[in-house]
Amino acid sequence: MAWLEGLRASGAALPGRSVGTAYRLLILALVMLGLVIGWGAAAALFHYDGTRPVNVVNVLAVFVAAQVCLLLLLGIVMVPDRWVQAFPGVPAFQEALALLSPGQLIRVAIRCLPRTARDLLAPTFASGASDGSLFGRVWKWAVILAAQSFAAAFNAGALAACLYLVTFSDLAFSWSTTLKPDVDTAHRLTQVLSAPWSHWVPEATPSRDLIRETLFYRQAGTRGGGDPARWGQWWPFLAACLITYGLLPRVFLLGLAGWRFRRSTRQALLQIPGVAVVLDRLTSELVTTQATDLEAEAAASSDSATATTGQSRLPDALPLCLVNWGGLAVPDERLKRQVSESWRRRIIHVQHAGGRASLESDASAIAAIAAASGQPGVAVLVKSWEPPVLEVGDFLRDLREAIGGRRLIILTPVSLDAAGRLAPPRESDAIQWQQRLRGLGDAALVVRPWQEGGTP
Amino acid sequence: VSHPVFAVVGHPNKGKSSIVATLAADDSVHIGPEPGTTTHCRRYPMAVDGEELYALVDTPGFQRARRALHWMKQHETSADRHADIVRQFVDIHRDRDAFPDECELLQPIIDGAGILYVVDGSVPYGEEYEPEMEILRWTGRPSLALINPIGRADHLESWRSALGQFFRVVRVFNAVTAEFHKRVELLRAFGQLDEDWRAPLDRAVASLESDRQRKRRVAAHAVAEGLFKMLTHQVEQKRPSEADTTTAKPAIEERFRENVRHFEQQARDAVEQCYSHRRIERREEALQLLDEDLFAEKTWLLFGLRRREIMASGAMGGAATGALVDAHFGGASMLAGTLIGAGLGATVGWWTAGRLVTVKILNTPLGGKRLVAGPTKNVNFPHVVFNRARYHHYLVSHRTHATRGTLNLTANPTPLMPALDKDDRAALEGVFAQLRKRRHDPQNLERLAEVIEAVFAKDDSTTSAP
Repeated sequence: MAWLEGLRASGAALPGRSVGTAYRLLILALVMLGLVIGWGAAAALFHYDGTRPVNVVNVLAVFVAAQVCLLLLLGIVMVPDRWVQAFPGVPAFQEALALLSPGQLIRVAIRCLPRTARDLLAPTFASGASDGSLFGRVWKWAVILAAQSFAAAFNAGALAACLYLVTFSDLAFSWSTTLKPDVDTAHRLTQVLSAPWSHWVPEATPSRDLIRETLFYRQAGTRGGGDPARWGQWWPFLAACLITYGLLPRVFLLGLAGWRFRRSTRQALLQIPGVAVVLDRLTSELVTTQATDLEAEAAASSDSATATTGQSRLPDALPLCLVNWGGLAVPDERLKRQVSESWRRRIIHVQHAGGRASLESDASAIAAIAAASGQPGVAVLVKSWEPPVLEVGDFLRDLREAIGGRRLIILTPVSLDAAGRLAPPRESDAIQWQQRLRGLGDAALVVRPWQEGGTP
Repeated sequence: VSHPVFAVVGHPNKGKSSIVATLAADDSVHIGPEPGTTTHCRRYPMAVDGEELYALVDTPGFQRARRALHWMKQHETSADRHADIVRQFVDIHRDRDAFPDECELLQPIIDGAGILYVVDGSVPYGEEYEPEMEILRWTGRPSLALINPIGRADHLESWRSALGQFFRVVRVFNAVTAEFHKRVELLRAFGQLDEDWRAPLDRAVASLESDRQRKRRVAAHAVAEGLFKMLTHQVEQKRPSEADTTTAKPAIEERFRENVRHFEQQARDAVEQCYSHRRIERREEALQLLDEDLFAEKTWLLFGLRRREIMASGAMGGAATGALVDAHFGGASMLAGTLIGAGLGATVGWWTAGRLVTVKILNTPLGGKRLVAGPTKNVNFPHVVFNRARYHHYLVSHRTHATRGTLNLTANPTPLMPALDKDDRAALEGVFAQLRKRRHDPQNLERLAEVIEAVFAKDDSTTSAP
């Protein structure tokens, strides 16, 4: 949030800012255009050069009838989507109507935006966006808002022109129509039209006499009679019509469109893919559990170390000293017998090292092996399921130092079967031991996983 | 230290890193069959909005525990000095080659960390573990033993019995299969080691649980977005009115299928990322579309108007004209004028639109054919897609960060996941029906995400099969 606020405060050229500015400029242009056209329309309709009075019917047709029709069409466009779905064809008609709106000038305005802003808006305001997709409602209300700005300005311009002409010129009004002119019908119509204000502005309601007196016949200059001073008394009615049926509804709709536009924009923003996640993220705790630093490089594989070949083979008659490393849970006698039977050679003795045994005990075992007569080989039996720790290497180094460099040492990873007898290890365990002990660089050290009947 | 720190220690290759990967939800931890892959301590702080509540420290394994203990015993004076002797041992040997691993692993403990001692419960207990357990006892720090059964064999009882002599709390915790609630339980157990640790750990647990819910919500949104895109996607190509569309169809159809599959994979990636699984390889059968015919041919017209719009405009215009006739008769025509006008207007609109398609101005056609592939109309398709997404989410959300290997989505999910209950099925069908009717309504996406989140919440509370 702080980052976003900082970015906003920095005054950087954000694409959204350009879009907002362009839209506001468009609204301003439409307002200016509306004022000019409204003023021009009113000036044309209220034109009086002293020969033909202003025809009230024309004024009502343009500023009341036409506007009411447009308002009805606008009403159709504004009906919420969920209500029109039940009526086939109405959504399409809504879209067709929307195409006629002056608010469609937004598309022209978008083309004038910088490229970045255009790209940003492309997926939202592209053609077809008005079909109810993510920004469909935003588009709809943006168009309506722009159109209402124009319409409100049009009516304001027309009203201003009307009041200007009334104030600074002497207007004469009459009414005429090719259809059968009927004073009673005209009176009823004006009564209906002036119903909203007749109680509190009675002078803005034309009387029957005024209507009769200002009826204009085909013969030039023929009027219904009466005082010429009354010919100008139509203006309060016409101004009230302009305000009531033109300006006020448009100002109301302008407010409504502005509110709906802001609301739909907010809703659409929340529905942009990813926004919900971002908001969720901003409003919830940031929980981190992972390491903040990179893992150190793993120890170099001992594959690359100088490896003993393991090709050495014990002379057939050579006896062996056994070492039970790490407390392999096999009694000495059974161990001796199984190894002796399997490898077919004499076992001199079984020593214990590692595990719970003390370092002094390890030293005694090494001394006993070194003292064995006949230069026997040494077989160190280890638990295959336990990893080869450095202590094993330490023991083997000490042993080598004690017995000299020529006597063969066989390291045999073993497993135990359910009966507690020696069994071949898992291949992966055996490989692990082989790889690790190659690194000792002892040419007379061989890693031979246990195999029943195998020859070391 | 102001917050608890736990040093995860033990013999090499006994699953320390797996435990850390699971508890820290960090799949970047190197876990390998070769022993001694961890050579330096690595810290995994658990922080909420930057405030550290506890930390795990992965350590190297003991390599010369017997020799280290031998040195300590040689310098022993009395039991109350044991911790000092361990400290002295680390101080003396820190820069020497004899005990690099022991110094590295003991350092956080003498700095005040609690001890999480890890053993593999699938191999037999061995006496070679006793020296290291003895050293840990000498440190005098609060400790807890975790039996992590890496393999299938069961030696839990012998381990329990042995560990019970050195540690006050002994727990079984499988780093690969541990459900989220088991991880949380374990954290609570850490709080029992020291009274001062309980408050930060309780807070950490609460934050982890709400974070879990948030992740589920985000995942549900990702799945819903993917589904929404897949169910509403269309590929469209404009063609001249006289063009033969049969040759263009295979390429458009392939593009459509690729896009739909891409949306699905995007959702998969998002779900995995949401649960901090960044290195998963998936094996999954490609999604099959169930529609026999995806295509529709429509007309298009210049200015973006579609045929139905022109027809509707014609109908409304005709109706307005007819209404004037009705008004002339003062309603005596019983709206016949309006109805006839609307019908005539619609017909003219339809006919005009059809004619416009073939008209060219300055050699630019005013309209043509619109070849549209999708959206898929098969009513079973959304259910198929959702079930695939649900299975993937289930596996990912239940997968610990110590698990390595391919995520297999080809297996039958039935034994793992419970069937959807009636209410969830009805809610889903309701949203899918809405999507078929009003495919662009963004509120459908929200509704879909809510239903999916509810399903995921139920799935999260079920325990996966081992």
